[in-house]
Amino acid sequence: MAPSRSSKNSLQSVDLRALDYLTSPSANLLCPICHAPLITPVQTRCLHTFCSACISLSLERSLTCPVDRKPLNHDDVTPAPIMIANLVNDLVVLCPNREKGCTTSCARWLVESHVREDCEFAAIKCAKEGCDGMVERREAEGECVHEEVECAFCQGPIRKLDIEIHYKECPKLSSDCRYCSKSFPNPELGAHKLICPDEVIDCAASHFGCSYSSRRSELDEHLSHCHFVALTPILQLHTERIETLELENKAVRQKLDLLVPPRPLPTQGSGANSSTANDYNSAGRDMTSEMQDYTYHLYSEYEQLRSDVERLNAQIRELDVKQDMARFNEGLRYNDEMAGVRAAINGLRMQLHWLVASRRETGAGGAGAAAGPRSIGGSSVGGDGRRMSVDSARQVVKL
Amino acid sequence: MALPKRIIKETERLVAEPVPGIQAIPHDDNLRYFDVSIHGPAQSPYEGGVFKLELFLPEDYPMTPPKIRFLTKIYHPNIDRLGRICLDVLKANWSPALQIRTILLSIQALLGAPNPDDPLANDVAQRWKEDEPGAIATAREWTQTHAAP
Amino acid sequence: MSAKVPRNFRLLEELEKGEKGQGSDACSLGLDDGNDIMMTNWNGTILGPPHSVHENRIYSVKLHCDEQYPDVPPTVQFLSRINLPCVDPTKLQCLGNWKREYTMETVLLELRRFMASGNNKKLPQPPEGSTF
Repeated sequence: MAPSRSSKNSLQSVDLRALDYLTSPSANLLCPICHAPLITPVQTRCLHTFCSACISLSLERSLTCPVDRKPLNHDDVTPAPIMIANLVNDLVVLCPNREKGCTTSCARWLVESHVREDCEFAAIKCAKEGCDGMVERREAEGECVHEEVECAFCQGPIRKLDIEIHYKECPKLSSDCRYCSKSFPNPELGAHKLICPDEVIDCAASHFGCSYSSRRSELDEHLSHCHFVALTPILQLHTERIETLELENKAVRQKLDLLVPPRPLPTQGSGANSSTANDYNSAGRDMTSEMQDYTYHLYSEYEQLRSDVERLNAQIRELDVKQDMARFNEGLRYNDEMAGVRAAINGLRMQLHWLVASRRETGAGGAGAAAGPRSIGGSSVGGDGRRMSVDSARQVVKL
Repeated sequence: MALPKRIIKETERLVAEPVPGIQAIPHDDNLRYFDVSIHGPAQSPYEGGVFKLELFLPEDYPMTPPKIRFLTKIYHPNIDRLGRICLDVLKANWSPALQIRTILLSIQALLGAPNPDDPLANDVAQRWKEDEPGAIATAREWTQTHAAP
Repeated sequence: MSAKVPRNFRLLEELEKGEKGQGSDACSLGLDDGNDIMMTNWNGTILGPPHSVHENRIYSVKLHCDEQYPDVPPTVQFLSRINLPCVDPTKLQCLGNWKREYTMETVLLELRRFMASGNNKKLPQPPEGSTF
């Protein structure tokens, strides 16, 4: 039946962004805005991926891509490839009711239905007619805990759910102090614990090494002559100084890590180098020499590389010159040859001219007759005639 | 509403892998409020100084930039008498992809490279332009008097 | 409300509101010492409310925001002489029901409203311009 089903369903909503993951997910799957694994991933025109909700919020304030600041519109945002969505939806998360005791872990896309329908620790509506209270699913079968009952001591109306807490605070109920065994009303017990004269406590300077401990009422006497207490201000000062020095030392160490291998060259920098190293580390003599060795080593390597480069440069230049010369010579040779060929062609053309002109003169009347016996001559001669006619046509064009 | 996961993650990382020369510690009673200290960068007039700052992540962080100001007095053309900082990424150029870590690095970089053409403290910027060596000397002096570690 | 704005940033907000002229026209607010990084002492002025004896008068007040502001109200003191029930020669006593969301501007506007209410708007006033 529908109503009973809905009453079994939890109304607790799951904030996907607040979930804890079983293993820390790859940095590539994190949204650059909320730093959590992507939820409903979308992709921009400039190919960056965000949670749908995150990029919408960001675009409301500035129409640029948060990663590369390129102009970006709502229309430039499209769903990311299904594969990305699947990758993030399959990440294993812990149930949001983990703190209440649920040990379930499941793929992220299943967690909502787990909380809504299965999780024993999810809050669901109390089954009792007319009661608006919420109860954990595993306790839903029992009686309603939201009914008010009467406190046996102060007669006040208290919800069943809260009665345990109420007993700790009920003004009519008292308990004994653990140390002085006097009885106090519950609300005052906490205040009494801070001043109970019989509680055994440590000397105020215990964290500086004083091992004395006694009842609170007798401690004052010890405090008045405890050397540790007398030294407390100065010890405190020292601890603080040590702490700041430790921090500083850590920062300096990190700086040093960044500086090794050192930049300055030994020619002009060895003096400065050792003095800066001294600043960093007063006991750093060997450190300095080590760094210097390192620097020398680097420097000689650098020198070697430089001479190598110089040698290579010279070789390249030499080769360049050689090649230039060769090309030049070759060019000259070709030029000569070309000139020769051109001269020969010219000679041939002159001869042809002369031949054609003389033939025209001799056979002016009987061009047909001259052609006639040639055509009878045979196929090889026909080829010749064709060439002739081509040549004469050329002549016409030229003239 | 609880503290957003992003802020928790950022805080954890700031504590676990601090940036060299930068420290940021959240207040116990307000996890959006940080005490920050920045070491003056080497080769700058602020070298050797430790500058205290305060940083606050507003309700809509990271959609809006963190609020941050210097508590230590500092002579710098882009920082005013109340410690307010003129830095583009803290204002119009903020992007939610930036983080506390990157912002603090930008501020450290600003100490190393003052920009008198985009001033917040006008008198300081003026002097920086007209008499740079003098301004740098004053900055160094202030560092020694106000920012001694 | 999950983000609790710390004192200093809250005071900076109030200062910037004044610097940008976004505050009310009926009062104004400024830092007493522009170099005070803790922004403790402030000067305020209240324009006397119309249709009262205070009309056209300008009252100066001093506000002091201690470490606990805005969890506790600022202490307010009139510099200009005024005859008002909650103002004994120096201190002011009508700042009950303080809420964290209130600002110094709230205080000044509340004072102005108080000047204009009931009998207060008819009380005889000391000569204009005199100070405590």
